[in-house]
Amino acid sequence: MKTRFHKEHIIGALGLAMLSYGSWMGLFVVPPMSHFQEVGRIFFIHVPTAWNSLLVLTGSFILAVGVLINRRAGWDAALTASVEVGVLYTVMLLVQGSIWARPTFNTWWTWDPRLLTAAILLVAFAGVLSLRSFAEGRDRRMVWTAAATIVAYVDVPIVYFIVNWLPRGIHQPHSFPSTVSSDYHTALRLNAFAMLFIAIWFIARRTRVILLQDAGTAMSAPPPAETGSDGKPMVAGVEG
Amino acid sequence: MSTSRKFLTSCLAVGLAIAPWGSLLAETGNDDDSAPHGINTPADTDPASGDDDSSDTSSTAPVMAKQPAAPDVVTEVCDDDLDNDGDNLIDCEDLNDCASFPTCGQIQGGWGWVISAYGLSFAALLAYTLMVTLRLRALQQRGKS
Repeated sequence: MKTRFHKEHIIGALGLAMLSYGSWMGLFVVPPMSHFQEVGRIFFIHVPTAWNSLLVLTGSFILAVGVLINRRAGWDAALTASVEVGVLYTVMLLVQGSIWARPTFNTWWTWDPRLLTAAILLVAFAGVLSLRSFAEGRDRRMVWTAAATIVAYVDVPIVYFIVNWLPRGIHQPHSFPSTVSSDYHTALRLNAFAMLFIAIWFIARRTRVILLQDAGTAMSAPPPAETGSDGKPMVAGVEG
Repeated sequence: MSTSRKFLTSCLAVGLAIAPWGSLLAETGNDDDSAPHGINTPADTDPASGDDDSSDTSSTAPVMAKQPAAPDVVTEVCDDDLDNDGDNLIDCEDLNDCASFPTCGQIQGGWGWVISAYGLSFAALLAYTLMVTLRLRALQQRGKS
């Protein structure tokens, strides 16, 4: 049986290769951080996950606006897929953060403003997916998903900027290449692009699944009721 | 899943999304009520002490000191062995103020945490890959048959 090759696999393979190399660098090549020692190596997966979580959800916002404008099934499927991948990355982000916080701050969780807003982000976008499963009818589901995504997206810039607005938490204010040791740049950038490519691959694959599911549902749905000459539905071939 | 269960799940998700904002607002809005004894507020400052660090209001108007004035912005100084903000937590014990202070992190363990973080992340990516791939295969098979 011949399987069709999709171009997204190239991006996925590139992402996997970059993630492997970047993680190897982060784990074994770069020197340990002066204060955090080996635990600081979590930084090389945690920070790229955070960046891409917000980036993927920003993509969801753009798709949501597009869905409201053009109402295309393909855009709706891509929107749902990107919200799902955004939720996956946010879960990973929070788990990595907890594992980082335990040895460094002696706690699994604290009500730090960024942690709180990131948790809200997760619940809000999980709520979008839940709302989608609740909505009935293709058009309604499409509009509700897009509208809820736009509402939930309000939290994304808050998560990003809150370290500057409320700098008293455990997260430091924004870092820049000039404030991070150049030893760490390559591993960080490799993993950041790797996570982005893997997200694109996930979204492309998941979009395909959703479109196939929708096509299957449409085929298995009962045909629309026949209507009589007066426009009223017919019962067993008899005009009502 | 029935419609009512889906609706309840959606309500729960929305509720969980809204509820934490209340705690954040409560934390930022009730400083006067929650200030424990020992905080150096203008009301607590003895005007006769001549303490130059205190607010000017203490020396100019003792009556004003009786008013419920906003407390000074007091935060923990993380390396002076004192409870500066009066929350009974000294220096690095005060996680709210000193968690990011360079000498406060008590690094416990090492590689175990790193392996856990990377392992769980890769496991999550692998699980999602498998889930999507298997689902896609199943749908493609169904489409062919």
